[in-house]
Amino acid sequence: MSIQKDLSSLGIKTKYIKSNKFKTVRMSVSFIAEADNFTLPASALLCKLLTRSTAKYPTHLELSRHLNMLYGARIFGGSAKMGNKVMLKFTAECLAPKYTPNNEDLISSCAALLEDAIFSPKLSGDGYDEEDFIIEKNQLLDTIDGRINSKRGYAVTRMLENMCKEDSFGIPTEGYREDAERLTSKAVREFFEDVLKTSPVILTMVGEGSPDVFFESISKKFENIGRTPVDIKPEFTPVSVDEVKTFSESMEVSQGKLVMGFRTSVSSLNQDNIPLRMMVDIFGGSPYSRLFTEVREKQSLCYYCTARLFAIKGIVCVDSGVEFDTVDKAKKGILDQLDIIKNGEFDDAIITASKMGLTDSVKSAYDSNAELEGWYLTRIFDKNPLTPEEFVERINKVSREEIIAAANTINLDTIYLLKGVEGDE
Amino acid sequence: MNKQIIRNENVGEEYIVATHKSGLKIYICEKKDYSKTYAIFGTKYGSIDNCFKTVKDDEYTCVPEGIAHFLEHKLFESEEGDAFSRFSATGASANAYTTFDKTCYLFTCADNFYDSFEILLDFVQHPFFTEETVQKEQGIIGQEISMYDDSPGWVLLFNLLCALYHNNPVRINIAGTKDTIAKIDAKLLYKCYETFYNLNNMFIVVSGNADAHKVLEMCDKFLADKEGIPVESKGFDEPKEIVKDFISQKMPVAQPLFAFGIKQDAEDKSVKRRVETEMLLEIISGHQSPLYNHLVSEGICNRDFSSEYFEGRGFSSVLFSGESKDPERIANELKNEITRLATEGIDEKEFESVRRQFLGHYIMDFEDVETVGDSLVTCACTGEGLFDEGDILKNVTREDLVSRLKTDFDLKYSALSVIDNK
Repeated sequence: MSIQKDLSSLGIKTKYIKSNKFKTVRMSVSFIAEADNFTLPASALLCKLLTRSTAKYPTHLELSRHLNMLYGARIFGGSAKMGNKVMLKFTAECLAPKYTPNNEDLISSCAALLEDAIFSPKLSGDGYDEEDFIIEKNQLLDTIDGRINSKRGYAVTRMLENMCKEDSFGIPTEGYREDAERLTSKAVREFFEDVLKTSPVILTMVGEGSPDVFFESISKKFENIGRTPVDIKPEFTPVSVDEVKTFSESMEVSQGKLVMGFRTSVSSLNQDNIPLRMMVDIFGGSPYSRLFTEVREKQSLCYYCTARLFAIKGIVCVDSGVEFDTVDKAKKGILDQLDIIKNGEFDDAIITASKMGLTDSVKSAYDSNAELEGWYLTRIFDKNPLTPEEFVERINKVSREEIIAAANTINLDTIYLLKGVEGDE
Repeated sequence: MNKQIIRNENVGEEYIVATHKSGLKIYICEKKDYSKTYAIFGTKYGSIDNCFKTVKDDEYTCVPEGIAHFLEHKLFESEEGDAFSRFSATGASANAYTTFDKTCYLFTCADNFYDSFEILLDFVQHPFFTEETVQKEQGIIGQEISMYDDSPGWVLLFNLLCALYHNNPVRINIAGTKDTIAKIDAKLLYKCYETFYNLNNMFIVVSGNADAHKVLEMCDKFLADKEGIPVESKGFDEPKEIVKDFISQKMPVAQPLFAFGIKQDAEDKSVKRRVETEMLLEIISGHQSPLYNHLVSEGICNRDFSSEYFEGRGFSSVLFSGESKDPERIANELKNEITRLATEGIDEKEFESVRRQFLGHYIMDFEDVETVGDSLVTCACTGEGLFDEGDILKNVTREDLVSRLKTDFDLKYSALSVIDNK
């Protein structure tokens, strides 16, 4: 389904996933950089700044109108943590030419825009255009301040911060306010110049049409800047849990948020983690899971109660919405379910359900160019990166013993509670 | 079954509309090169349908607020266990939702579609409520209501609707309140079920990797052989005027949230009105608009700024919302821009750029199985065709938009809702 071309001497990987069923074509350029208090807010800012205008379309209004004229093509950027590293991704998406009235070559136009965003931004002095920079910095500060608006997301972020204090994974994706405030246009530009020269680069294209124009033209740009690629990739060191850390905060809320962080020694970077994925699905990742059927439905202890896996870090996170006076019962209910899995006290029906459910969600990835791209990018550093087909094959071979063994690698590390203020409870 | 095939060469898609003898409409869009299939079994029954009767009743029945959503939760249960556990045996991912004017039960799957479809047809047609299970659900939904009470965006919207509407039930929270749901019992649930879940008031949508012929065969086999009963919701007297032009509340938020809305008459439900209104919203405050760029560069609003054509059975308004340190200034700037466009007209280049954007996005939407399914749900509820928008976009003019702006964006009927930081 795909051809791969290696530009390894330049530190560039390419992946083309051909599919003619989509109405759109999607092209992305991704970079991997170190994650720290400076690079996280800088990356978040860069991804928005470089896609709001370019030297050729110097205002957001002009760039937006140009994109509209290309039948609503889109260009956008985003950053995400990959373990203790950060990925900066710039994407262009356009209508496949055959759907335009005159078979217009939107792919070349969008590839050129993506190139311009990365290599020909709007500059001023030794930094980016000051007005645009200030706009995007303020937007970033608003995003950071706005985390509090979604209590559920806020509670998970706070738990991870406290659980991973010694590790950059604990820093929120957009970083902290005080570090974002200190960002200067010059420092951010220097950071991105360094990323362009040294970071691993991944070029991806999904859809119909030849990837040559995009891959070759942008590779040339990288060649021209004289790259000296550095091998940056996420690392994993198992952390042993000595004692459970507990902390809580108060806010004016009518529903409490209970978040529990668990550690395992299994990371997708160092071993096959499919049994662990299935264990998390059975524990709390699905409507047939123990947390949903027992803790939510039978015991009515939470409105929502789900488990998810941060695969690179080997962290399992359970988050739930609870009434203030049933927090302890909910906590016990959640831990009881984990013990039940550790002890193998579950029937085969839930294993079958999980195999079917996970297979189903993996196969659905074929129906979205964003998901196909994401599938490849999130697994790029895995010890054994599986294609969706291989993933399904492995899922269906997982045994009960492997699930129990995976559950027994898990230990509770941190408990976070967001509760109401006194007098409100 | 009477059926019709509708094809569009530009988009490269076709769909089937069939009518069951009960009056239920079935919409199917086959996409055989996809892995996924999406199916929805829905009823034109939502939170606004609180007083109703069928052609067989003399009197209207009035029920507690939030009952449509409550019923949605309860329908997942049967004597043999809940529907989620039945779907877990087929691998499908199931869900349901209730809006102001409809309730939908749905699943997506990559394998075993027909087994899952049979479960969907079965559980929606077989209610099972007891006093005990109703009581338990009151606890679960009570927690869901608490969660909405903590959501600033949700509170902001309903405050605005209360400022815009006097009597229209769209001002009532979809899930009701803890007090109203406490009044719900099994008998009331059966009454609502019998009324609104009769096939005449329902629809089925399938999109993705399924065989239309087989889907229709299964509908014939599994849909109850009952006569459809037309339902009537009690009308309400809603004046043109708004209740008040400003409403605010304090909650823990990073910076104030605002929603500015303009109430419109709800008579015209045409696709033309929808497309023209959505284009106008883009022209007023989209990323290519002078207003949006001015507000962002002045630091008055951030990227979360958005607009929406908010409409359904019996209600219609346009909403602009986001975060801002100065909500009143945003409301004033929006009013000025609407007045300016109505007076000066729309720039030719800007109009063409927005028209092309809409043409592109209209086609792009066909690549996603779920988006196609959701669009077919709209078709089932409004009677519009899936390809109508494309025809309108080809022929729409600047003059159409200006005249729409003059009739539908009357600032006399606008209100501002604000959530301030506590």
